[in-house]
Amino acid sequence: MEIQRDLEARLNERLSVGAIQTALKRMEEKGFLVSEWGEATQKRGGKRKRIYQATPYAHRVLREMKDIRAQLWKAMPELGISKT
Amino acid sequence: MYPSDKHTIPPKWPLKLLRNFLKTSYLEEIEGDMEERFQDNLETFSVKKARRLYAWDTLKLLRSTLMKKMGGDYQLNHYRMLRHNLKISWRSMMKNKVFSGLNILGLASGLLCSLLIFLWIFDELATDNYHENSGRLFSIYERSFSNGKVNGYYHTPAHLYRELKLKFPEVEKASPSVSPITRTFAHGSKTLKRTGNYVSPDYFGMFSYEFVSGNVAYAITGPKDIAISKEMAESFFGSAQNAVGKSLTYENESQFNVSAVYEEAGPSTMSENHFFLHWDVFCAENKWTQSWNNNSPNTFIQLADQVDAAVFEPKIKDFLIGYNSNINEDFNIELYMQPYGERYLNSNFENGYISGGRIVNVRIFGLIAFFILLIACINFMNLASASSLKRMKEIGVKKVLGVKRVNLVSQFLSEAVLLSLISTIVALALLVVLLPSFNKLAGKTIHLIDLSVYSWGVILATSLLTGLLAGSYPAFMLSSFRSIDIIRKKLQSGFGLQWVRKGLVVFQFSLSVILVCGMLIVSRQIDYIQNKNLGFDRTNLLAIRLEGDQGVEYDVFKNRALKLPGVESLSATWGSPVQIGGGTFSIEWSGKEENDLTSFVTIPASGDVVKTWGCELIAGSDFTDGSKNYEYILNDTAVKAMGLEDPIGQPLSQWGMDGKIVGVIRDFHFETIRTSIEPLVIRHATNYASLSDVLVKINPINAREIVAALESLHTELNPAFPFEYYFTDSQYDRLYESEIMFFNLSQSFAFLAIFISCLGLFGLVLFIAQQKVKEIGIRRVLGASIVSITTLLAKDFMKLILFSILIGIPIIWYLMDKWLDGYEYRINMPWWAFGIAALITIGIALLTLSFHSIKAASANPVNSLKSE
Repeated sequence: MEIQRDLEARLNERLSVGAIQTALKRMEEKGFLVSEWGEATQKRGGKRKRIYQATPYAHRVLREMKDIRAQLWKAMPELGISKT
Repeated sequence: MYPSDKHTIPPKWPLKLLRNFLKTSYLEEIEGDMEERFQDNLETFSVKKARRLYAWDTLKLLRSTLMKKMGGDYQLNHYRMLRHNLKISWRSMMKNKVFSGLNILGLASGLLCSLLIFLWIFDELATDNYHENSGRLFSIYERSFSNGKVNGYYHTPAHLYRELKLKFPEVEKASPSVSPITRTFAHGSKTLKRTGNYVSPDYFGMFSYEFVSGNVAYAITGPKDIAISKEMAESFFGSAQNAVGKSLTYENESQFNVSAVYEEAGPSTMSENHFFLHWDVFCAENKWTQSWNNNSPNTFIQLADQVDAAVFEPKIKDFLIGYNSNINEDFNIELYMQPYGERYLNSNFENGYISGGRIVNVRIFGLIAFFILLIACINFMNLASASSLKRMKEIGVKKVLGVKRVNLVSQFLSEAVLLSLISTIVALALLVVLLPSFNKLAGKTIHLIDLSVYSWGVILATSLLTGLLAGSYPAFMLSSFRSIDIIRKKLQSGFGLQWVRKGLVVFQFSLSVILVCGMLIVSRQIDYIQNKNLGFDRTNLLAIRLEGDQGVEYDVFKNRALKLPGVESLSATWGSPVQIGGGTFSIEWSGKEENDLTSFVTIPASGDVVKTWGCELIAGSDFTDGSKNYEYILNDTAVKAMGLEDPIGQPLSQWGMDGKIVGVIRDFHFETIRTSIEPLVIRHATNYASLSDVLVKINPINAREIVAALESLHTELNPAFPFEYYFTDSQYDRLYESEIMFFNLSQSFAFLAIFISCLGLFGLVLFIAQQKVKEIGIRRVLGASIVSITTLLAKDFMKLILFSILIGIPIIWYLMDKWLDGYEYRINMPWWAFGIAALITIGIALLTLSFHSIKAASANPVNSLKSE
């Protein structure tokens, strides 16, 4: 729930529970996330929360992706020049 | 803050949905998330909106990653059962390949037949019914009252459309139209004939057309505009785009500018029209249109939005008073309206009221489709319930293991639905192959691609319903047995429900007999129509259109044509003797009573008419060319209607043309033989320009050369017009098009019905032979002959078939008698047709029966007896 609120605030867009949940479940399947049950509150109608945490593997992949992107960004002006 | 004491709860149904479909391991978390979000939303939005958002979010949760998988540990139970059922069905199908093959074949042919009929019915219902303003389009019809007789017809005065629009604000648009007329057009060196129509500028605003190019709203605004079909545009200008703005020469005299090129938007009765011209053009050509007393064109109106047709209709009822000068105390014409979309199917009049028409065919074929499907279903029930005796053990074991009856029923139903879906696919495949020839047979242009979603829905629903219907009887019957009886083999083939199967066979064969017999009788009547002596000789009678200067030059044409070898005689007329229509009251003869309102059919003709038509002259003489007096020839009925003793030489006057009766001919059929012969007056035409066709009697021996010679003569005398001719007997056949189509279709369907019934019979014999395999073996060992064993197997079925013939014949006798009553000249009920139908049915059934019986009887008894 916190994830959703955070993302909604950042993106300034309404997201559905389904969108978040699908992403989470798929990332968990791929091993980017681990999760455990959290506490139950009255607001949640007595249902437990699930707390998600990124795995070290996920951090590694993210960093790799960031690097690749950075390289691509760097390559862009060059491309622009060579084109002319 | 959300009110914690009075906890607002989210709507219930989304939660139920979630619990059904989401993976159980995700349920708690997601449900919690949803609830929390709902509470959040309550803070910012109203309760209603929060609930709406909740429901919306729930629907968005139905994603494949989050839902229960159709397999693995999360399998839905129903799905698992369904899969089990399908597997079992498939296995039992494979085990009995012959039986399932017969079943599928039977169902597929039944479905194919009803699919074809459905397509035909869809097309019939859609005809003229697709226009955007359909609900506001009406066709005007007249009801005339005279001599206590009421007549209804669509013919109206030529300027009615204009006056209705002028006098009533409710009439938004109006247009006349006539039956398609053939005209000659030329552009550059190209000269072609096309049929078309004459309408008001409103026409294209009322009826929906697709415009390929050109101006839509102003297609026909002036008397110099012409709108042409895509086909016509392509034949003259190569493409539709090239056509607009070009000019076309009309009848070798006037020029028209192509303003638009259109295409039909759906099945339409207007599809014969390849061009549309301004109504004024028609009126200029036909002087009779000036009089309000003449009724011929159709009038269509479009009511303004919000106008109630039922309220408006009485307002036009007496409209013609003051316009038509014939109207008096004894004679009246009233105007009525019919929704345009209904006209195609309901265009017959009875005592002035619209009563049926093509709709009758639609109903009959609908019934046939239903019954053939029913036969196919019965087949399925028979075969399924017979073969299922083999599956008694399966049912028994399942019941003992605690399978509920509902599950058994659903098993058999899903099996039947599976089979019917397979059959539908087979039927659709066959349909694709057969559709072109069906289109030809029924005179339609149906393409599967054009079918609407609605039609596909109906097809799918039919297939499913057929499966459910066909499966219902075996499903409920088989699941009703007590397992103890099954296991103890108390149920043998002779269980009490055998009479149901027998009843079904009887029903099937009764229907088959009815269809075959109906087909035979319809074919006799059609034969009778085609070979009936009509009183004139329609064979070797050639009709050529009189056009251009030919009307003036007719004498030249006639003299030169008569010199050609093989041309026996010529006579010009308006139309042809095959179909003479239109009546008049304006015939005066000596001794006519003051208010006599006998209607006479009239036709103008030039010299040698009796000789050319091949009628029999009872008294007097034929017309001779060159005579400038008004002369008349009457038929027998007309003489009787006038009450003349010695008609020859008596004075007679039509439309004020005073003349004499010169001849009397024997009655001949100049209308369809559905109606009786009416009084006919043939008027000697001295002015050839008012005639439309030349009829030429030719010698059939070298018809081809004669036609070629006539063509070169025509081209020489009349170079601006292409030579066009037709034989009158082909025109005659066209009068009975619907009968012939009806016959062709019913023939196919009758044989299909017999085929399906025999498939069922074959299956049943197969089953009985399997059941009695031991008995047959023992009989054979004890010395029974093949014949006696075949008789043993077939005897019961033959009894059933004889019984069905006894049931079928009275029904078909009643139905056909009613059908034949629709003809003024009909055949007597051919009793031999019943005999032949019975023989055909018995013969085919015997063939089917003996095919397997002999095989079973001639099998080596050792094989059937060696195992126990």
